[in-house]
Amino acid sequence: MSLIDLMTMAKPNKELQMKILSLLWNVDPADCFQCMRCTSGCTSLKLLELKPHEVNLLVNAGFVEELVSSDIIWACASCLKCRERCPQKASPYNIIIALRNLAVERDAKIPEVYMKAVAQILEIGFTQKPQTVTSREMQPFNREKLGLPQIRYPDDKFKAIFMKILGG
Amino acid sequence: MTNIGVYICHCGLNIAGVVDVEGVAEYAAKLPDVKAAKHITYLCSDAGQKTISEDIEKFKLDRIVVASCSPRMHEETFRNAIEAAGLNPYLLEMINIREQDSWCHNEEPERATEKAKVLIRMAVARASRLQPLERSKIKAKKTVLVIGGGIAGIQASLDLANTGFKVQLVEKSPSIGGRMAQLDKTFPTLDCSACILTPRMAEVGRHPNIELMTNAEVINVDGFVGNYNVTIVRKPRFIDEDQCTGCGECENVCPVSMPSEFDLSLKTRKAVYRPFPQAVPNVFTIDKKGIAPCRAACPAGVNAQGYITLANQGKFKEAYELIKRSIPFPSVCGRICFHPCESECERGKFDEPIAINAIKRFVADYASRKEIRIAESIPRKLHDKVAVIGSGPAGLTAAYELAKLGYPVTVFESLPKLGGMLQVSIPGYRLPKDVLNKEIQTIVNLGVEVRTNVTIGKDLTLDELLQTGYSAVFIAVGLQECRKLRIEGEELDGVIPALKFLKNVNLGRQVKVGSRVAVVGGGNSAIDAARVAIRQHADEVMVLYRRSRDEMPAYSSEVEEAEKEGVKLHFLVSPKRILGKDGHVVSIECIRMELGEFDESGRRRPVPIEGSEFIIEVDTVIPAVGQSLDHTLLPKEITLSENNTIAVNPRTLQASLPEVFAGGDAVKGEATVIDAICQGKNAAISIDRFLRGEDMLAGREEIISEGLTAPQEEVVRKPRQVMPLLPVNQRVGDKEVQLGFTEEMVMEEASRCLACGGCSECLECEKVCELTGVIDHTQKEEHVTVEVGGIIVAVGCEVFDASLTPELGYGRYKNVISNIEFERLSNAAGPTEGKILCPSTGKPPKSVVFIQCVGSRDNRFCRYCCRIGCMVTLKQAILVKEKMHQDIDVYVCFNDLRAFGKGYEEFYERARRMGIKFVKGLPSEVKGSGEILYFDVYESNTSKLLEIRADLIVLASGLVPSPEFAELQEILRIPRSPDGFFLETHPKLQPLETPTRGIFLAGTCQSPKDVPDTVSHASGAAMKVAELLATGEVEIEPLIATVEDSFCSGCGICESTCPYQAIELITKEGKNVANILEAVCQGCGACSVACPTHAIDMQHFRHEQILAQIAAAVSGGEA
Repeated sequence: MSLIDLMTMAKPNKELQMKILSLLWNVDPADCFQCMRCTSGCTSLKLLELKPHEVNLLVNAGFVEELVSSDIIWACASCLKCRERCPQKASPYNIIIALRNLAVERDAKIPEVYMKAVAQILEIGFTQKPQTVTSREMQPFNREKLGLPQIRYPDDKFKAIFMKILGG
Repeated sequence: MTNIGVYICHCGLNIAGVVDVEGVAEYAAKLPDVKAAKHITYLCSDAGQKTISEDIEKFKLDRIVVASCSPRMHEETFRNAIEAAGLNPYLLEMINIREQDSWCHNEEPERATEKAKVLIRMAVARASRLQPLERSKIKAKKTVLVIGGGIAGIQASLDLANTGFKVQLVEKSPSIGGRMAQLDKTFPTLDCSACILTPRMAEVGRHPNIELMTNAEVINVDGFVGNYNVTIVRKPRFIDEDQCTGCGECENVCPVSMPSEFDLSLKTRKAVYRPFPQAVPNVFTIDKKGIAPCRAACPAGVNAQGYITLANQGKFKEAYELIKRSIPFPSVCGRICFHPCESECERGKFDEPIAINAIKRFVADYASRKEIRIAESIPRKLHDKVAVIGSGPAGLTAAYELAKLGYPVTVFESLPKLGGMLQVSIPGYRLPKDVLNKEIQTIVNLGVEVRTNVTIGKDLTLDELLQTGYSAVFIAVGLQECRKLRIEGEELDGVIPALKFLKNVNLGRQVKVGSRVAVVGGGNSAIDAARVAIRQHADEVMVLYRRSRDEMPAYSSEVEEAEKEGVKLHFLVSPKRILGKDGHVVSIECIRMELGEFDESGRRRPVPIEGSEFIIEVDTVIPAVGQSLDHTLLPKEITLSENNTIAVNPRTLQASLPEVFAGGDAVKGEATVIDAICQGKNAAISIDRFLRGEDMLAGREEIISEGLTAPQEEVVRKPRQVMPLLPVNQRVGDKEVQLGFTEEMVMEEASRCLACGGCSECLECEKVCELTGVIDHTQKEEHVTVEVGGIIVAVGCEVFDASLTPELGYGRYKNVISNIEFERLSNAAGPTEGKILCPSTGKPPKSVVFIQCVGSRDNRFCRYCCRIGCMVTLKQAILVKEKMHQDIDVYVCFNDLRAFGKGYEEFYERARRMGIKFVKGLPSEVKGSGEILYFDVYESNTSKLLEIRADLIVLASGLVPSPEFAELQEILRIPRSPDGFFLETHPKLQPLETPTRGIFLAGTCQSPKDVPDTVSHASGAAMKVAELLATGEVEIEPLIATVEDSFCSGCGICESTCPYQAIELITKEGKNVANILEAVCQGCGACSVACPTHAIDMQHFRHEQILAQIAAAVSGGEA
């Protein structure tokens, strides 16, 4: 390999890269031309520092190993904005999901917060309970203030189906 | 036996780096008939060509095989070389071992070498069967068609015209100038676009060699290089181009405002307009979209859009004149017409339809109040007398129209007063008698003779009329017979049919109304009778109707008012019998109904409920169940229809006697006032033509509404004005209930009109135009044919529609605009006079952001780079900085910034030095909060997520192929590339040519270009046409189809297969055979394949030649 990351001494792993590419359908990270639209709109950037363009570029360069074992791929909130707005249809979202699948396959440790979010879905149907948030003008907003109806929490039937999907 | 020379080119290492050229040459030398086989480093060089010509002499070669690059590149070179050496140029066979071999198989040199050998083996097999061919020459027209009058078309036209060629320039819009005319400044020099463009436009306008056709489109192209026949459709301008002086008086008076295409709807223009002041030609155009739906819906064709727009301007007199042009009864119709126009009004799709009827009423009342009289000029006095029987709306309209034409008309009326049903059936509170009589008087004033109290058929017969000098008769007697309930007790005293009741009241006769009145029926007559009964002081009035409220034919507003006045409505009730005592009504027995299946009228049929009979005590019963024709007075010669009305030809209204015409309810059955007026008009036209012995049917096809819709623009909701009504407690006698709109209400209401038809044909422009005959609203489109030698396609392209990327807020936020809109904002002649202002507030922005690559480099839309976006943005950003105060924030969000042209990089530097901030990164979405726009963008160079706030966001929209390309492609038979633009013959060496000889491309229709590139491209195209046509002759390649007459069966399959219409069937020696038009044939070979008898062969691609090649390919053997 002619490429070395001098910060970590990591080398590209062609085999893993091919594995990721094989998990993608109709999406090629090589199409990415780094326009930043994905990262500009990424829901998980501000709190969890997910930069979809970087994920894309790292897979492209072959640095897959560090991504698969990193927590960052679990930060994606699956809002799909990057996939919808990517002008090259490179879809960082699909790449992140492929990385997660590879991580699970390799029994990588899944971050605790992520598992907590899964447990929350089983409990209340969402990753977290509705909260009060502040807008950029420091205005507080919650469902009630926005005139949205009360959330209905899932019943046992939902939980049973959910567990079945999880294979539990 | 032929002597073949085979020459293999190394093309440097392009071929020789992969293919073993030496081995191939050795192989070739052993092939049959090959007398020389050589490999040469650069065969196309002088030295290489010289080798071939020397060998031709030395080895007596008579066929040459060249294995090198694509024939597109060098076939001509080698043909010329062997021709110079004395061989016929068509004895060359060229094969491509570069693009089709060494380049595509560079990883497999051995197999590439093998392929080269096979290709050469095939070429040799074919070469030995090649035949010498002669090129022919045909005369070519030295006229060039240029399609499109943008800067490309202008440049090409001027270049050609200055060289001495005649140019036919066709532009689809009213002026030449194209996109460049819309621009403000041009990069990188910042000179004003109009300043550099308009002198050239003017030059086109006055150049003696250029014939300019604007508002025109090419619709068909036939023929072939040097001799194209082009059909051009000239769309009507409705203004004589040669006479119009461009003074603009018409524009000043035009009441219709429409969004200006030139200003991208940021500004309005009039329906008669000139796109911009420097337009060439400097003439006006009237924009007619068609007949507005309201006007099309009116049976009498009253120009509703016209008078609404005039009323909107306060031109009530003009509005009145316009209505009077179609109908003699504006006041009547303004009150009681059922206004089908309002049902069709497009505004109804947004909020509510325009109150068209109320506007008409105001206009008519205004004219009456101001004593406006229209001077009806009667052109000539005619002698044929016409009798009109019946003075209802149909009869009086016919009398009015005929009198205007100059006929002496006599109206016969059996009643003492004129007006028919308008006079006797419509109650005065809906149509005051003074209003009606005043309107009737205007008709009588035209010199119409009136004979009241004369009943034709009783006092005077139809025969007598015809014998006493009347040349034609129009029967419009209406329906005078009241239908019966056909129940027991109908003959009792106290039962009075609605029409008789209303007639007596209206004629001021003695009427007896009891205290409890039952009206039977659900139509307008029933409601009229009930409301009149209330006014005649009945204590209780009820309406009995056998269906439910939804099925009532009466106008719902009238029903509501009746209820307010105290009329009780009983639904699903049907009278069974009327009970009397001493010959007078005392009660009515009814039965309850329920709704069953749908009947043929689309309404649910009422079905009686067994045993639900009940009795209502009443002393008066008014049946209002319709009327029918009283035909007892008609002579037998007048035939009746199945519906028991007078039978007529539906178009001409001629009855069974040739000189007798009929119309109105007597023909149509129970219809409306406006239908009657329409028939009166039609009858007048027929009678006029009949008396002049003209064809009564000509040109009278039914007008089909074109399904015109409102213009696609933002409609601000604005409720319809509500008709003021007389308070219920004041409603007595003939006091009018509907009070009419005030002037303010009319102007407000009229301003809601969406001007669906474009020009409303109010004809105000004709009145002010100083030159007579310049404005012609009846102009039709015209087809023109021109003969040209060559064609330049310079149709330009379109700007990407940014609303396709909704995440960027275009179309949602007013302050997100596209770059072409910015050009108009920044232009001194634009909507803001060159001031850069936020569209939503009209205030100058404090921060402006440009977002790049909108629609371009985006696989969701266009894959390609638009090639102008970066430079346009740099220019616009610099203009913002220059025009506004220096501390304004200007940001450019970009992905890659491309400044590749001459002076462009320096321009980019200038922008940076001016303090324009460049952000490497594109936002995902634009959001808005109040007037502020903001977005997040990840700046990749600093790895920071930034929030940028802006008052104005400009999107760098790219360039896209026009949707009209598809049609043009069909017309010109030229291909397009996958991006949708027209395809050049070769991307590098023939960027101006199309595969169809004689047709060239100029400007952005080939691919996106900026102005300098477009101008260069256009000049190049002009040169290419000049080169082709300069001698007045063009050479025709002999690669065409030939027919062996003895094989041809004359079946004609080839004729229908040929895409170029190059084959015709002719008779030769007594049999039909196919004949090839040599100049038209393109040598595609479709006919040869289709020919069932193998009679058609392609010169230079004969069956024999191709089969030999295939045989060599599959033989697989050694030489």
